[in-house]
Amino acid sequence: MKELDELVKIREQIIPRSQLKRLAKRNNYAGLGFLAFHLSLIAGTGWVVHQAMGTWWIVPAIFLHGAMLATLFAPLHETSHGTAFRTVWLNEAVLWLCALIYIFPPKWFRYHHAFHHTYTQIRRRDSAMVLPRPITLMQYLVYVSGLTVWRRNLKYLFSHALGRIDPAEHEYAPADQYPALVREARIMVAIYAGIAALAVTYGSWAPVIYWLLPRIVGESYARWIRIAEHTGCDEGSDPRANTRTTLTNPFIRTLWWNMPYHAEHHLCAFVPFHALGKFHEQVHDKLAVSNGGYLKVHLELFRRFIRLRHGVQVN
Amino acid sequence: MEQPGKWHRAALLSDIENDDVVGVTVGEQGEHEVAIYKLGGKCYATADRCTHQTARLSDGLVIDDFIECPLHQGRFHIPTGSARSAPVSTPIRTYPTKVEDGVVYVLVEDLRFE
Ligand code: FES
Repeated sequence: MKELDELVKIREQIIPRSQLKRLAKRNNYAGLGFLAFHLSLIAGTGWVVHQAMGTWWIVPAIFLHGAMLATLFAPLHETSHGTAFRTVWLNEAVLWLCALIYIFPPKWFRYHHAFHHTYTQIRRRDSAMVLPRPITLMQYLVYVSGLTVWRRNLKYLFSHALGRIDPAEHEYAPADQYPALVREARIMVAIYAGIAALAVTYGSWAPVIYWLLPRIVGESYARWIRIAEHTGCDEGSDPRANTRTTLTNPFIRTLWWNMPYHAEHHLCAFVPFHALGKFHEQVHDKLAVSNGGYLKVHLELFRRFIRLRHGVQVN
Repeated sequence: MEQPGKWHRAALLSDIENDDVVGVTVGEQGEHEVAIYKLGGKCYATADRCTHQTARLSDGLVIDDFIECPLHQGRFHIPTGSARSAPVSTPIRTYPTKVEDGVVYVLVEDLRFE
């Protein structure tokens, strides 16, 4: 496989396997620490929503809580790689928990995401290519709203639950796994139906207020972060140029389980999140690194690729 | 019962770290890519290419008695070759091994047997 051979060749030029092996060591402590921090923050913003009930503060509170729920994409992503914890059952349990809250079938995410790693930034092959250029302002805004992502994610959930895997997506997973993909979607739908039944029985709006509504509006924050990972980078399989690391403050980095070190992650996905900082120190001069935070990446994208309303291509 | 195939010299035992893997090619024309593992002092051998998207398993990580594929982190059980976690679902082939005078040999069926 051409893309794969290129990735391995470049990786070997950048860092020897002996060094990678040391970085790749797994443990449970880092994951448990990050998870505890993450869940405490979510509980905290949930409490803020509770306090804001009945006032206008509820609007920003729901957005804030939604942004925190959206960051669950980070542990979902890390556990899908199997690198969040050393203990397999712990990894799988956290994967399922995040997938349920995030509303994305976990096994399907694994297959879908694996394809993205193989064909990163290869047009019409990359399963998660975000806004290939040229980007218009409208496309950018629609993407950041998260609406298209919701349409896609819910389609996965419900069509799989109905026993249908879209033929356009057959190549992501081997056919012998389709029954398992259908089963996981049905389990998720059954759990959601159970929550809905309980909410109706007890006349409670809690699932809507603390989960669904914030989850919907907060997706924008995940999209804002995801855009910075590859959008505007080179197309092609060279990991030094097709992925961007965004240097940001320790709080955001922790919230996103070190995913901002994205070029390092794509260079070698078996290095766990907690070792990415160290990995970055060893290889940053060989990778695409933006050092002004997320705002700078987005402003740069505006400058380079977005055709503004008056139709002038700024580039 | 004698197994079909031929014992091929694959690696020096001292070249493989404990709980690690090396990739070799064996066969008349080097047609078999084999991963040789040393787990707790014992040697095992499997095909070196992942059954998911052909990444080289000898670039991966040995965790307990599993080999984790470097590309998408699918895992195979080294002694049996069974696929243990998505995205891998098809097992990898395993080969018998023996160690003589510090040399690891693998029993590989020649292509005419396959
Ligand atoms: S190539 Fe091995 S898990 Fe995908």
